Amino acid sequence: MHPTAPVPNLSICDLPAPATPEDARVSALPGVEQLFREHHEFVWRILGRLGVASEAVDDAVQDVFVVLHRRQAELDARGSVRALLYGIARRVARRHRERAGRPGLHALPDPPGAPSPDEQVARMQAAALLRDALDAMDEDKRMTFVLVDVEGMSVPEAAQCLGSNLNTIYSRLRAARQLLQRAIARHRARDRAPT
Amino acid sequence: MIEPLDEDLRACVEALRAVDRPSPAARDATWAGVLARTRAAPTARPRSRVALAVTAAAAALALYAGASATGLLRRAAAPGAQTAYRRGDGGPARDGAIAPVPGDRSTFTGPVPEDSSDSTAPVPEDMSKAPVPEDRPDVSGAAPGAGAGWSPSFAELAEWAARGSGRAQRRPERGRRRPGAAALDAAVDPEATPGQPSLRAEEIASFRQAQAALADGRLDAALRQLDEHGERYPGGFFEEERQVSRAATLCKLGRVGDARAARDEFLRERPASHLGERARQICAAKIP
Repeated sequence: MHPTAPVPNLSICDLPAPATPEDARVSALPGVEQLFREHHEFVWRILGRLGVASEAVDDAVQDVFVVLHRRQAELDARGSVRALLYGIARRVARRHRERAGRPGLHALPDPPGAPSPDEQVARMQAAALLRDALDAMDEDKRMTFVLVDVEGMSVPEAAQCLGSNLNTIYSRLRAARQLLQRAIARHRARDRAPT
Repeated sequence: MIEPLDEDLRACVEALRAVDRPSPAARDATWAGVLARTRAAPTARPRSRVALAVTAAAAALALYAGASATGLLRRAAAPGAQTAYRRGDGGPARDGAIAPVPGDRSTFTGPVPEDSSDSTAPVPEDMSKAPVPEDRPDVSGAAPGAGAGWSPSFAELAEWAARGSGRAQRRPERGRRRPGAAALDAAVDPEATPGQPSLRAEEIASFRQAQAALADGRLDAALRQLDEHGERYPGGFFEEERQVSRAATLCKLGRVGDARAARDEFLRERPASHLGERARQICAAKIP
């Protein structure tokens, strides 16, 4: 940890702009405790996908919710709460990556105490395959795929998170899926190849 | 329109979702850390012009009062300092007692408080609307990260808790606490939640060490730390997670009989636990 590192600050660029003057009133966000309960897992996973080292993910999650708490009065709850959290998480992740000095994806830690039967091993291998393929992708495509296909966001919500228009998101999503399908096919072909 | 994922890719996505999940203990520990840090760092409030003006006026007044007191102290320390005071009866006092002059704004009427934050003077109504400084430098007893805005590790949180969270304890209630502060207190203060397991930073740190050992594959160390944690915090916040982790560790160590016994004991004692499904899978493949 770096005692002198500043707190990640929110910029207005990270927040959705009011659509109309009528919408400019600030809606009340739910309490931090409720947001934590509902979105902890989402933030935890997203930080891992944004390249925070596995040993730092829990600290980064803390940072996200502490920033949320500190800035709560300034934040606007219009639109997607997940988009708001994503905006904070992206900045926190960037800071953590800079501190660690090693960008890229990291495997998230396994849940402690998880058993390791064959099914679990197969699942771990499939997850690792997808992780590696995502790692090889540029961040725009990767996060589009993660938000829509892994986190189950709607395309408009993902567009809000990523600050892109809908067509761009559709296009990135198609491209990401193609890359992943090819990676899986290559993996399967290697497995089937005689040794 | 989004096409559905093909079968292979969907299987990988489902695997990733299943694998990349924080454990309940990690979630609880993270929340405890958030509580500790948010407790020490109040929410920033929107600053209005009126509030800024009131703050500036209060700061000027405090500066003036401080300068006056400092000047007077200097005079008091200097030779012949008694000339700065007038004797209460207007003439030479036999016992040397010094009385303040009514109406003299520079009169020093008492000792300088060691810590101005401990002042119990009522806060003017307007001041309560003034922005609270987010990060005060060098606040002894403040939680790690409260001042400089950096993330504390759990070890640092534990150290902070061992020191007694001095600032939070030192500052009495003054009717200025933000809404929800009581709920935050209740979540971290054992006294505030009678009947609930306690949750202290050292308890979090202890369990986290065991988790780290388990994640690193140091199974013997993990088992030892889980047992020590159970002895030190019987019925503690992480008890369910500890029991399940312990059974899983035993299984990984090849102590199948012990693992099953621990698993069965857990399921018998806590049939409604949210970790039940996870517990049932421990050494399940080896059950005939």
